[in-house]
Amino acid sequence: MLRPGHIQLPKNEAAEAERAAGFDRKQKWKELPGNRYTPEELKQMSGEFADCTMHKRRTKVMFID
Amino acid sequence: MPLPKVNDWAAFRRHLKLLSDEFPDQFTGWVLIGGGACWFYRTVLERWADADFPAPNFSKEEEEGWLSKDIDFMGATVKDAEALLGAPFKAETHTISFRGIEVDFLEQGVRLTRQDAVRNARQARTPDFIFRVLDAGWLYAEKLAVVHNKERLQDRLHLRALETFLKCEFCREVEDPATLDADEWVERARTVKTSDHDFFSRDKVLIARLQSGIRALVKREHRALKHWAKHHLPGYTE
Repeated sequence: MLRPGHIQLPKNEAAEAERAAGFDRKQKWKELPGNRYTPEELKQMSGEFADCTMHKRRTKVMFID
Repeated sequence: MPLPKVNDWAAFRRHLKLLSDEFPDQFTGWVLIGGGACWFYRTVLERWADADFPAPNFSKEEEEGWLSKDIDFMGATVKDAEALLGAPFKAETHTISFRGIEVDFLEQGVRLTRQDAVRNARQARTPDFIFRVLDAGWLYAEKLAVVHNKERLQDRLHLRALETFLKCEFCREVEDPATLDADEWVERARTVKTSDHDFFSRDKVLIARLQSGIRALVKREHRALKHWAKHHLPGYTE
């Protein structure tokens, strides 16, 4: 569940330790077999992304009458 | 039957507007390429009337071969275009006829892809409609590739007009710091230099104007351009 922005995370030592443990758990999950994209999967995804129209830069506008 | 030739911006604009009016949703996704796009840049160059980079003077014979009357786009497949325009693709002219206009939708250029075209389009605004046109740097790179692969007079003429347009635009932009987008300028310069290695080093007028224009830039956001000049513009020093 998302935490609303106005509710601050606790800053005490126990809370910090809990967050660190959570980070470790997530990292261990990432390293389990099958939880990372293979190079082939990444390549395939790149190909799919290539069809998206994404304008990173500002569109240059010209005027003519 | 060969297509008639036309060198008339007003007529060309009318054709674009007709397509824009008839297909408002789809038209914004189409990118003008080929001779029509070159014609647009040539027309802009003529209106700039720059003393150093005037629009090329072509002979009568060259003018007659400048632009065929078809309009080339990228951004839709031939199949989709056939369905939309309600007419079959004609292999003879490589176009689809629509109310007196010959329209072509290319899916692949010599090096240009549909994705390249869609991602590198400019927006051209006329008083009564808007269209998208392939960026001049990308169009130049594609025309160079075409010239290396095919012997057609019009491609060499288009290339001359585009080269002059790009030189003029590069100069005009650095001379107007208020509207200069340094990142976009450098990106276009890279596209052009990648396809034409000597572009920035063979024309003394271009070099001199760029040198003085870039040297005069003082804003922090123009640093990338100054950095580019140190590496790519002959004789440039601060």
